[in-house]
Amino acid sequence: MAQQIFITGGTGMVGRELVSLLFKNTQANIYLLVHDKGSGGDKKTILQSFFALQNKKEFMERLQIIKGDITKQNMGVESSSDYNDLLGKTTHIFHCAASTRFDLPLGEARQINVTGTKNVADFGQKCSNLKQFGFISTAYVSGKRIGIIKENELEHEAGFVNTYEQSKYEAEVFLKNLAKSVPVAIYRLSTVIGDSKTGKVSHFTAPHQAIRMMYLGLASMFPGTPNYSVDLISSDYTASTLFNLFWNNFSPNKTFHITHGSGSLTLQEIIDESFKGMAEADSSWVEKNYPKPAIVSEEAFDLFMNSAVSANNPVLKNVLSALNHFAHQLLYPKNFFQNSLLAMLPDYKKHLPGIRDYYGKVIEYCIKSKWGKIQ
Amino acid sequence: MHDFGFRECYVQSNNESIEGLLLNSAEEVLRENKTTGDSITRIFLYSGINSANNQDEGNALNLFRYPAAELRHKLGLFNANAIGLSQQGCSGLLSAIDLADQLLSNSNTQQESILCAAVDALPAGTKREIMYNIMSDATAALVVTKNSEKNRIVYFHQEFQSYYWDTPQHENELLASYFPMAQRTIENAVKGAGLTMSDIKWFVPHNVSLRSWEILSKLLHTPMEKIWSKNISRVGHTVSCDHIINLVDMDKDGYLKKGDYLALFTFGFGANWSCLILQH
Repeated sequence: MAQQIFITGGTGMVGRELVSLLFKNTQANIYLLVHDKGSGGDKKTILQSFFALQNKKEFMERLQIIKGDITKQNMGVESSSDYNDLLGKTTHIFHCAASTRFDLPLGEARQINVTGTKNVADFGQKCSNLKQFGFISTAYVSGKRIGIIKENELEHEAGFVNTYEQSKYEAEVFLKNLAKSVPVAIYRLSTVIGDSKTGKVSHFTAPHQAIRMMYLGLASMFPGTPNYSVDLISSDYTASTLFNLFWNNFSPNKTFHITHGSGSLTLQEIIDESFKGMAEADSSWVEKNYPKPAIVSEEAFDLFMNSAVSANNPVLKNVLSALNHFAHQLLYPKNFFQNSLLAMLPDYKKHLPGIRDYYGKVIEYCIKSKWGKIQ
Repeated sequence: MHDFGFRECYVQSNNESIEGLLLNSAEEVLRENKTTGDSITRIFLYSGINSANNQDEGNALNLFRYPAAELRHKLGLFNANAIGLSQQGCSGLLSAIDLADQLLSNSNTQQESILCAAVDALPAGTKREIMYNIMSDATAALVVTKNSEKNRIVYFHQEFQSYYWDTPQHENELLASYFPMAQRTIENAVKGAGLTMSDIKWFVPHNVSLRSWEILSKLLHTPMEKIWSKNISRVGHTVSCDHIINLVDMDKDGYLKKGDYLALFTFGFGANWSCLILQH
């Protein structure tokens, strides 16, 4: 029987590269859940626009588009016969769909990231032929913990910087309790910044907005310390690692840190490299001679934030609240252990693209695409 | 604006003349310094605001009524070359002091002094809240001499970011750049003076929002107690006279001791960030 992979969030930043690898390197059929309100288009369009695949007959035959919504019962799949059909066929589930926004109210973040995961897991429990369930999480389920973070650690009471971290944490806790009935592997990603070869960013998140604020001369300060290690990984290497772990080395009840680790840029280097990249990508920007943002204590950052709120300056208030939901993570230095990952993929570090080699390309892509406004 | 530390604001009344106030300031400083008129070789009169005096009012010659020349005449400083300076916002008086110091350093004459003065008066009807600060009207004057025994000029550092010259167009960029530039300017000034931050006894502020000084104190790792902020609430912010008013009040209230290192910092539209290190 051919493998039947059901994927949520397959058009997201990592999901789209993962699906592309699954098309190219397996014979599996792909059941792609796309949001019922999304504008995904037909198979041909989806293959081209999201997966950079030509509409070869083989790909067209292997792809099935399922309209739905993970926050709804039965994942919003309207036809019960379609849902039942999936229950019988599905051998693999890869749950990538999530809200990666850091500023959602907790209730909304939970609805997508916790309830959504529960609905996908409920589907998985009912699948009669399910062999593997992969779940994309974040290394920052560790929240405000500092120091060494092991892959087999989850529960803590340190608190969270934003609702994204908290809701993904709660989703992991839920899945952990299902381990006996669903073969789940959890892949905790670091911050995915862009493609290591082209710099392309398909999904702009809070760190890209921070870069934008620096480009616009609106980033006054970041909380943290200059030598804080900012863990960033590329979307392409993340996808190939996920593919290898999920397809070639599946290990149920295991958690993996897909992070950069040693050799990461420090916060000061991120600022320096961002300014260098912006100067190289846009010579007219250099003339503005914007100062680099200061790296300040949490107290100073919060005072500045409160002043912007008191002063009722809408632009600075928006800028700061965009930064606020992720910047505080810079106050909680972490060292993500990767023992499980390296046991499965001993050459992971050998092939890991160095952030210093492609960060400038990401900056250039951000500027040239006007942060996604121009494709 | 109470949240930002402001309580009082001084506004020139209809029966007051800013020129008269300026003359009083200058006369008082000349008297206190026991400076003879002959030794004043230059007058630098700074105004960061386009002068309200130079209105045509039907006679084009009104455009050429110069307050610097008026000051020279009324003070009887007939050896002085009087000139008006402008367009550095709140930094202008500190720049005038630096200019005077540079000129005196290159002069062979020992008994030579330069009168620096500033006049800050917003035109009638102008909104007093500007960029989160309350603006008062004021004048100030001081004498720069060679080898001064009091408030010796140690070092002056200024950073210019003229991209921001069009203030209304770049207001938010300016606000965002204020703190990193302020930190950089003060640190460079202290370093340039051959000092460390802990050597500075007092930071003499421009009287902008107290909140901004609280933030800056954290960036500088300096306690708020070292920032003499009493005049923010009781005087408010003038364009360029704050430091002189503050120094006079600090001296009068016994805060200053001989040998104390003082850091006078300000930001001026234009845009520039300036820090003058003095030794009291």
